[in-house]
Amino acid sequence: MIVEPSDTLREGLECILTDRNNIGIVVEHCWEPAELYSAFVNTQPRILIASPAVFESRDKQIKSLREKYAFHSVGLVYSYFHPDRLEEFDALIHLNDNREKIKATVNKLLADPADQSGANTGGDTLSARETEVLRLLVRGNSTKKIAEALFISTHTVNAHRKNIIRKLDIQTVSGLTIYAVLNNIISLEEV
Amino acid sequence: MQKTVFTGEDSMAGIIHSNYRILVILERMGIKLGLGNQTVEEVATQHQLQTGALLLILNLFGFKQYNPEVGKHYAFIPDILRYLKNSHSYFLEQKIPSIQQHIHQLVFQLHDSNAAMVELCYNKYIEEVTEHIGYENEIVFPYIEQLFRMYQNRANGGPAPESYTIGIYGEHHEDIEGLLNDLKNILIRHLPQKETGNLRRVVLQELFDLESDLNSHTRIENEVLIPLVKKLEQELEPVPDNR
Repeated sequence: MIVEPSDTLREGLECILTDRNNIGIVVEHCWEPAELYSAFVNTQPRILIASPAVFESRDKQIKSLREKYAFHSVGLVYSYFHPDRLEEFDALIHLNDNREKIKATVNKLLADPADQSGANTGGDTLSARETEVLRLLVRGNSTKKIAEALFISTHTVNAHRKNIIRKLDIQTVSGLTIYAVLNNIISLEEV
Repeated sequence: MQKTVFTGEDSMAGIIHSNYRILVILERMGIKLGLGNQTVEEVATQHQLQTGALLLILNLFGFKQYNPEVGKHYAFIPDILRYLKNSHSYFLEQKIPSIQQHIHQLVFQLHDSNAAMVELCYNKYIEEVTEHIGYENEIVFPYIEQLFRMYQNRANGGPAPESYTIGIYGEHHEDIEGLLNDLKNILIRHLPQKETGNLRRVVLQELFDLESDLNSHTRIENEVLIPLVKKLEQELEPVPDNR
C-alpha cells in the first residue's frame, strides 16, 4: 500500500513496482488520519510505503497500527529527516533511487518469511474489503462498477483482485463464485 | 544417461515402460498392443503412419523440454489430425463424463447444498470444452483437410484457397485451462472435508490426468499443427498474375 499525496511520486512508484511484478498494489491519496486508518484496516497490506511524516502522525489510531498489525514499514524519503527518525523503518526509498533499487528493496521485504506468518497479513484469509470486492465481482459487476460502489479507484479494485487471486489461488470468475458460495459470501440463489 | 528424445529405433514396448501415459497415444493412432520387440519405425510402417509424425507426438507427450522441428513435413498432417480428432472423442465421450459422474457422487456425499456449485462449475467447464472442440472439429479440421487435398492435387490446379486462414484459429484458441486449475484448487484447498471415502482423491487424479493430456494436446496443436499449416498456406498462396 502506498500512501502519498503527490501524484507524481505515488503513480511513479506504483508504475515501477507493478512492472513485471506479480504484486497487488493499493494506492491511497487520502491524508486524513481516520480515512488512512480505515483504508489500512480494509487492505491489511504487507507493506506500507509512506513519508516518515505519516508514520509520525500523532493520531492514536495510526500509532496503534504497528501494534495491531504485522506489516513492513517503508519510508519514502524526499526531504530532510533526522537519521534517528529513519532508523525505525524496515527499509527506505529515497527520491534518487533508481528503478532496480526500488524493486529490490520491496522484493526483499516480500521474500521475508517472517512476513508470511503475520496473522493479519498472510494465509488465505481475505480482508473485509477484499471480501466486499469478491462479493461484487461474482455478482457480475465490472471493475468500474465495483470502484463506484466502494468509492475507490479502479486501480485499487484491480489490486484487490490480484490479492484475492494470489491468496485463494483461483483465477476465473466461475472458480471465485464457487469459493464465494462455499464460504457464504453470496448465496447459491444469487448465482 | 536420461533419455531426452525417442527415436525410430527405440522399442515401442520400452517407451511404454518409460511413460505409461503414452498408451493413450497408441489407442488414438489405432495401434493395438502385443507389439513384441517392434521399433517405433516398424510399428508406424505396419499401421501406415508417418514415423516422423508418430515420433513428434510421442516426444511432445514424453518430454516437457522437447522442441519439435516441423520443417515442411506436410505429409504429417493427416496423422496429426487423426490423433487430435481421436483425442477429442476420448475427452468428450470417456474422460469428461467419467469425471462428471464422480463429481456428482462426491457432491451428493457432502450433504451441503452449497457444494452443488462445484458441479455447476464443472458443467460450465464441459460447455466451454465442448464448444471449443466443436469449433475445431467442424471448422478448423475440415479447413486443414481441404488445404491438404489442395496441396496433394496442386499439379492438377486445385481450387483457390478460401478466405479462412489458420491465423483466425489462433485467435479462437482461447484459454480453457484456468477453470480446470481452479476446480483442482477448490477440491484441494477450499471444499470442506465432510465426505467419507476416496472420491475426492479419485476426482483430483482424474482432473490432473485430464489437464496433462490437454496440455500435450494443446502443444501438438500450437507447436506442430499451426506452424505446419501456416507454411502450407504460404506455399499455396496464389502466385500474382503478371499479365
